Amino acid sequence: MKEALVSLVTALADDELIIGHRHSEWTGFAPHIEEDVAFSSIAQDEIGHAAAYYSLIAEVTGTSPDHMALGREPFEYRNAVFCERLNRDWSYSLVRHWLYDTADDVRLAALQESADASLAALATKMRREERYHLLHANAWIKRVSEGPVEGRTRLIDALGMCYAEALALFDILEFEDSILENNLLPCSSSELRGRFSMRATSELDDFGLPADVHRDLDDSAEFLASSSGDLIASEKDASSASARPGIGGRAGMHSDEFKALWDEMTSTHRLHPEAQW
Amino acid sequence: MSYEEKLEEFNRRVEAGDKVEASDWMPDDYRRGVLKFIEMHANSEIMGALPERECLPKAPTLKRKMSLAAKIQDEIGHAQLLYRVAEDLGKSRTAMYEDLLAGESKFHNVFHYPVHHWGDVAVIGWLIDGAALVTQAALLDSSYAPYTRVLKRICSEEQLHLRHGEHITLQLASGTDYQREMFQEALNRWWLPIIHFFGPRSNVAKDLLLHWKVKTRTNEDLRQEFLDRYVPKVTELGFSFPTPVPRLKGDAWVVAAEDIDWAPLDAIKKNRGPETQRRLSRRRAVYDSHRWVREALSEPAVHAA
Repeated sequence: MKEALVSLVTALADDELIIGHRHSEWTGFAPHIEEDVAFSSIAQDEIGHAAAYYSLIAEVTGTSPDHMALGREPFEYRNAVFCERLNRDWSYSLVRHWLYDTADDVRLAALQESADASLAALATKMRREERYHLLHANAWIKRVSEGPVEGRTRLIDALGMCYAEALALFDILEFEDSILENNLLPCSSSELRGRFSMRATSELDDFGLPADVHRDLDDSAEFLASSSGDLIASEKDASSASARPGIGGRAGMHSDEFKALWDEMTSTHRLHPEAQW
Repeated sequence: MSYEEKLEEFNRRVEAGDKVEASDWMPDDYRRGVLKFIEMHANSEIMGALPERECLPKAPTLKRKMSLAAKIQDEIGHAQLLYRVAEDLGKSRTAMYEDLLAGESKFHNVFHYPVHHWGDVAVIGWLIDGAALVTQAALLDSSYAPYTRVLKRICSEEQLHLRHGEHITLQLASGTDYQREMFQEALNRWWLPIIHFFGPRSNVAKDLLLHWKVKTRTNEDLRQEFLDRYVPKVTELGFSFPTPVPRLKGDAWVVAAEDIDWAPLDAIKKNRGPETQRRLSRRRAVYDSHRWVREALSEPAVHAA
């Protein structure tokens, strides 16, 4: 039960921390000053949510939230690879922001029914804040998808890069059986993936964006989702990683982009894990 | 009224401590001078976000990561407010922003320097923000009223930033030898740029901004206030100063004029500081490759099929 809770919440927390870290990298460099501010706001919320999740883990295991966030080895992080990708173009970040927050909404709605009362309460509180992230992402996707052709093309390209990796947010979790037995999640990761996929596809359709372009990627991700963590781990060679991108984060398999992020993010903390800052 | 009469009337008003509104008549030199001054302040808030932004990914705790992100966000917010005030004086935000990226306008000297580690965050948050607050508080009584109104808000946020910087410094000062060394090493690099921050001695006879009370105090007066306020605090924490070393004369902490090397500041005025081009070009590259974002914002929406 304890391992199940830690497994579930670590995945949630790491997703929030790592995507928050990436969003915060736009501060000072966004293509529009208002978006410097908006992405920073969202980043602060996500990192705050990560801190709340880590505190929940700390209560159970006796470790500290800062140790969870900054004191672990790269393979101990359970965030989806999707969250750790470099920001690339702003269209990529925007599409990732939209897909992530749509997925997070699906996930939080389920977590509100968790048998763990603290987790359910936290999910309710977070979902209120996440609403504003979705409003921001939706407004931009709508605006760009209805605007001049270059922006629209970029959105479609970014969707092509992002969609399959976003589905891996719902890869099977470590101790998933126990998570489900104890009702920490009311339904399986693959059930949540289905809900997310249906919702995202239908909303993309409303935006006039061609969701069917992604069907192939979708199928391959479905296939991999049923693989065990071990199988994913055994497919680590470069060619299969590029053919099936973004899988394995839930099993601690990360990209080189994560290694660089981790190296920088934990550098000050690692100098002196015991120091007060 | 002739131009001369208007000018005389304007001078009389300002001399008497009256405040100028954007819609009031003002001499062109006043308008241009105030615009340039506020534009530089706004540019500095934008570019001032970058050194701390470069340290943000390395923040040592979750709490620091969030508070530093919030602080940097405030700075960009200050730029938004200041650009708005400057726009009313006749230059669009886009034009100001593009001039900044093209290296055709200026921003404060301290934001032309590199950062290396968390000690820089302490020095920036405490001493550089402290220096900025000394200069900004002095502007609260500026003759240009719209500027003073946004400065009021900016100064109250800067007070919070200062406390944030002070906390970070105190943690380093009371920490391990390595943490203390981080602060000292950063202070050694930043001290001369901080002294430069207030500018060379003001030329009171020639400075139109002083004449029209846009600025109310001279550079050396502000530098002196900073030294008297911060040198004792830094000393009390057990840190030392590199050249120009402040020395107590009477009850004032003084740096000798001949100890200040102005050459680095002269280079920065020509946008040739150590980090000037790298920081500008990174922001410029994003701006240039994201024209489509601005086009999406400006074009009327058309419904896709």
